[in-house]
Amino acid sequence: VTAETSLLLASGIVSVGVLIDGLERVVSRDALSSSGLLSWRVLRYSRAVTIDGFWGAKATLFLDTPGVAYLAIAEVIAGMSGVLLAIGGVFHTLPIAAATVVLVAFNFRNVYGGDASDNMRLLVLGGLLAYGLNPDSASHLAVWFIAFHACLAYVASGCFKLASPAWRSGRAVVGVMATAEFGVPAVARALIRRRVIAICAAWIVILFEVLFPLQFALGYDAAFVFLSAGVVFHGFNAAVMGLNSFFWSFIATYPCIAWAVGELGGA
Amino acid sequence: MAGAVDLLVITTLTLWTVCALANQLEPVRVRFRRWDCCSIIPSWRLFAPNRVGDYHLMYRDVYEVVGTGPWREIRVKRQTGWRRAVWDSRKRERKMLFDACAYVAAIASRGNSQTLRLTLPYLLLLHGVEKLGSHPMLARGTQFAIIKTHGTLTPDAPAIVFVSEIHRLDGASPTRIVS
Repeated sequence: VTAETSLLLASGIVSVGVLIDGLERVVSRDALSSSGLLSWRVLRYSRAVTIDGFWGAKATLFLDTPGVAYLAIAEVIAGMSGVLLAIGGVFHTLPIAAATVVLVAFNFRNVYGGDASDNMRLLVLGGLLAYGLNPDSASHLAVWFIAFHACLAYVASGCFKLASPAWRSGRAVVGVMATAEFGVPAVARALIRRRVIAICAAWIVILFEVLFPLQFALGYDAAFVFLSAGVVFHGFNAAVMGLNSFFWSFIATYPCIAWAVGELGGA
Repeated sequence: MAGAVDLLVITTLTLWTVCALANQLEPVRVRFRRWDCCSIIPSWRLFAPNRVGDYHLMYRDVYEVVGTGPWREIRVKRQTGWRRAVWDSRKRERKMLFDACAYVAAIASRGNSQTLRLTLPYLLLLHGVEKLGSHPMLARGTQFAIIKTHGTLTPDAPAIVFVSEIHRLDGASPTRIVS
């Protein structure tokens, strides 16, 4: 597998996330209207520059309805183009650039309501855009950039969990599973009945995240184990906790990680 | 030209990486958050140190004759079952409600209620109550409250973490909250 192939795979996977995200925004576009929870008429007061004047008028043109609905449609088109191009084995900068611009615009607009999957998707798109701008010399840099940030995400998150007594004791897992937003009462009940499962689940997550970069030292076999575990982990989070966008954002980094492990000479 | 693009790409990715590394430190994160207007710099806490409980946005209307109506909740639909593994079109609204409620609850707990009603999260919650709540024509005012619950299975009682003042409703106008 070459760096270019891993970037092509990454572009295909991240484009699926872009497509789903765009479709979700189009379907729930009433939330972006003046009578929705994410109304620009309120959100524009988050920054002095967007309240009124020249820049306020320009921002309103794109970020209030109907402009914001066109942004969501642009995201759908960018995602669909990215998926189809990747299936055809073609990397093109235009859908990546469009998806990046739309994501940054929505991040700017919706001060609240974003999550870490947006951050990871933006990093993947940023790496792909760097490659698209200079395909002759930036492919290795782009792959390393994406792989490094995936490792940083896992390690930092693992360290924060490791420092938390609630995570070390398994209480955090029960707590998350008992929430109305991310939880499933049956799973939470099972974890309360068998506390040891909650402790094991918490430590499996902590160790998986903290030790994630170890695959770079151990080589392909370890990478296969870590990346397979990652797919299962994010699949579980999507199915049980509803973190569907995390799946596509994080799995998109895996082809780059696999290439980087090979590049370091792991056997 | 190629050299200039190279330099631009390397500089941007390096700066982004350095900022992302620094942003994992709490004091830096607080500083960065002020100027990172597009959420470009990630902070990888991901359910750490502890994410327990839910916030619920409640509201009730105030009438001239009969006093106050019952408390009702502003609910945003949550995708259930296996379908949410691939699709959840309302997740951003629920996240916005959670973030705004958490912000207002945190500020209120510090006793800064004077300036609170001018903050964006407060205005977003008030806007949500106005637009998504059902206000009868006879209602003259409305107020909202934030309730924190500690999970579906714990015996801990829900806690009222914030109650707003009453905001006047304009009965004749489709945009009814006027103050």
